[in-house]
Amino acid sequence: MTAADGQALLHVDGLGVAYQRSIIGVQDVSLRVPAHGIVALLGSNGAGKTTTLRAISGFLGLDNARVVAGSVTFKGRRIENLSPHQTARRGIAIVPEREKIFPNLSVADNLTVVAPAGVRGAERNGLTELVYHYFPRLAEHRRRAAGLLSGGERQMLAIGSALVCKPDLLMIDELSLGLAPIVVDELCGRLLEVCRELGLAVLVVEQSAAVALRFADHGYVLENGQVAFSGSSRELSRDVRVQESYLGASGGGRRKYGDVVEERLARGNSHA
Amino acid sequence: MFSRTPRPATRRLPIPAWVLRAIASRRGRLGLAVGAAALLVIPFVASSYELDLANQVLLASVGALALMLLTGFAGQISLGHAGLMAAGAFTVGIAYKEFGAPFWVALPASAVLGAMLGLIFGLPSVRLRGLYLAVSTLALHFVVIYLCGEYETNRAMSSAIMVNAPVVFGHQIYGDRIWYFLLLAAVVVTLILCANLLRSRTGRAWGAIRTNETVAAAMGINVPRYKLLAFVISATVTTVSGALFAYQRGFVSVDAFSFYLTIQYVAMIIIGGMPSLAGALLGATFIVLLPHAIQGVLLPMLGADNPGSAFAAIYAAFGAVMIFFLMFEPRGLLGAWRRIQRRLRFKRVPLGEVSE
Amino acid sequence: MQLLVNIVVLTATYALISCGYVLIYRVSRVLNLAHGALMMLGAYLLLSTALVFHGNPVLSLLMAAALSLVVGILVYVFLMHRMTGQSVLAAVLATIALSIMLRGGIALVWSAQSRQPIQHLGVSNPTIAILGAAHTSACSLLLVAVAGVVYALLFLFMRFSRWGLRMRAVGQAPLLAAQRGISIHGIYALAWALSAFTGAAAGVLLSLNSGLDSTMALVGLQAFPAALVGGLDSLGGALAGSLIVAVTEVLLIHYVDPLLSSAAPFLVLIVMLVIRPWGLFGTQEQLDRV
Repeated sequence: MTAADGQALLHVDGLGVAYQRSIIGVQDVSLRVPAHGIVALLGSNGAGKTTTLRAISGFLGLDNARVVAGSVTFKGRRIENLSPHQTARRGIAIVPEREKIFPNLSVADNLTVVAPAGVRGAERNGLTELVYHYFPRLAEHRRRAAGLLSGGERQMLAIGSALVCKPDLLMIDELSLGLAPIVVDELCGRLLEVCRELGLAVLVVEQSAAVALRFADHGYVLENGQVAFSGSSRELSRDVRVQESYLGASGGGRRKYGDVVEERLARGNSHA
Repeated sequence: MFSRTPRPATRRLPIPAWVLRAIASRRGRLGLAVGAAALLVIPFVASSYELDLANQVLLASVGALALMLLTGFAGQISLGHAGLMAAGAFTVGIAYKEFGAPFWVALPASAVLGAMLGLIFGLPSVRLRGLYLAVSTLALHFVVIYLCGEYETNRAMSSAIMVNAPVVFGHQIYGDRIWYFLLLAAVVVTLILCANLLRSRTGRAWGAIRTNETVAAAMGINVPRYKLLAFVISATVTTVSGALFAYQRGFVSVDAFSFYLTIQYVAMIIIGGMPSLAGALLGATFIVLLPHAIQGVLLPMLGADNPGSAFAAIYAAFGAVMIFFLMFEPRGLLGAWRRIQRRLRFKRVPLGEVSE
Repeated sequence: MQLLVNIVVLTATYALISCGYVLIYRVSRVLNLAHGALMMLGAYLLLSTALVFHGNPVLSLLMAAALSLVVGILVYVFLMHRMTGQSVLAAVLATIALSIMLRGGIALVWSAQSRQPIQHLGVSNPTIAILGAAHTSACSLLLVAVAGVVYALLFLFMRFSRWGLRMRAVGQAPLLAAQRGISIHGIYALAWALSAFTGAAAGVLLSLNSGLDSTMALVGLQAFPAALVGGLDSLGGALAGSLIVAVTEVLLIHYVDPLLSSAAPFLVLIVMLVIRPWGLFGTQEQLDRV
């Protein structure tokens, strides 16, 4: 069961992305992100999660890829194949996996440089104070060069700079990658607070299903470029197949890698 | 990528695929024969102006092939081309002026110097790539030009060094016609040399390095060695072409070897189309003929008739043409030609084929 | 003492030219080898405005300054904008081609004879004695002053103004900047405009001192080693690099051989490339970034 439809904030319908006009990245992917709440996009390496995010945020052109099928609709208007600049102005902010902060600018500068044009000094200060409110550790390091921050602090700063842009949809690519579990816990907690209090929609790409399903409301699992499962996070956590492939539970017995691959392939073949 | 069709191991001769295809058909054989005959007949039917142009094209082709090997096939950017040619020319000049050395001593001497300079120019490539490599070769170019200028000022009283016509087996090589055949032979020899290299392990290594150095190194290719080899071979050919340049003109002067000359050669390989030996020849022809075309066409339009304006117009038009190719035809003339060929053959190409 | 004065003047010259290279490299990783030609264009533009606004040097200078800003923007919009997406090397070759085109065009429009803009401006250039032991020309002193002011303004701009901050951000992480709503093309155009402006300032001041002819573009080419030695993306580095190159050049000319003046910057460059390719204060980066 997907999230309540009707006027979802972001509709992705039958999305197909091809790299260099020949290599299929994702095929027939559909998902809904409601106006409030957290949606998780799960799957192992190469499943197509980042491709999907890029298709939404307009970064596809970099890898010589294009949306070749389906549509991406945000706030009622189609946005596929727009440039990053244009999607940013519509209210989508993405925290990318790699280039996520400005390393040689101070933390404070990282937050002020991204304030949207037309935002005056007072409002800008208000926005940065809001970020410091949610991430007090950043306030401590206000004057520090961002490149010197630890991994967790960088992720906080990246999320903070996205918040300064006052987005309606926040997308995070690989929230927990490279971070210690305790840091991830803190991050997830803050993210939940932010989402609830600011009324944002959040789309999180996560390799670690266990982490994601703990705080997301709904989830989609991608395999080989297609949606394999979807549902509320409670439903997904209880789904045996998800448990076995992604959550590490195996009902007492050990599964061989070959069995997992076979089962996935069988599932893949049964997808029309 | 660097080998368009799979090459059977049995083919050892460095003959390109299109030539073999041409030989196989009767029309092709006729075409080849006509082409070869035309090449040989030119010196006897062309006016002396046209013959001189042809000689310039041939001489430029040698240098262009050398640069194509280095930049087009091995992927090493070099902006030091004019400096290397100057080195070759000055070796000849110095050898003649100071030692009275004959042709068959000076020419190999310039080749040896070229190899050494190639090593020096190539050393930065071991650590640097792209922009910084280009800048280092540019810096070395200026150093070489400075040294040549020093010599010219101090030993030649700031005027050009006169060089006597070379004497081979008792015959003096003087006059456009003889030079045509000599230069034609030089181009053919260089072509064979390049084609051989490209088919060998060296050529394959260069192709791998050009595509992705890190992967090439991971595959076990000794990247520094092949980079240096590319520089050394290219520089040797370039200095020899500079030496031939000196002999053909009969004098040596540092003014002929400016950064502009380097850019002309770079334009040759870009406009011709990288990586391709035929592209080097195409580009050389285009760049050598371009100023004359401009003089014939543009100047009457502009109404400019004094030599200063002529030179400026050529300069400006050259820049404009180069910009045009960089913006709109980065694959050069050869790329445009292949695109046209593909369009013409479009109906016969099955739909599943990946384009580009 | 005279040596010291020469060093200061030469440092200021190289510094004023170098900041143009740094501005563009910092935001777009492109080495703008057309900077020398743009310098020359600025100086020739002043010649024309001085002829038009005869007897009014201030207005001539202001018009020339405005025109140079426009030229920078035009170069970006019509040429460099189209080159984004291609390799950095192709972009650099485009700037080389641009410089050739500009030099030809300038000679066509203004003819290749040497000119003296200072006469048209109606100002004079007396020799000034310094501490009684050395002398230099008034225009050289003006050049030193202008270089100082330009650097001070640029430092303040980059550090404290909103657009300067955005420029730095775009230089560090262009994709992220795009996604955060910063207009990359606007920043690039701004960098090109500022670079053309500082180049024109350098060209104008040099032409006031030593006349104007078609060799000025080569002076621009000689200054880029100074930028590289200091680190192509650092303004402070450009200052330091200019100092080092100037010291080397003046000393070599004085003690070794006057002909070395054109080769000296490149010798320093070679040494630097061997020791520390990214320059004194440049950020160490993957040197073949595309």
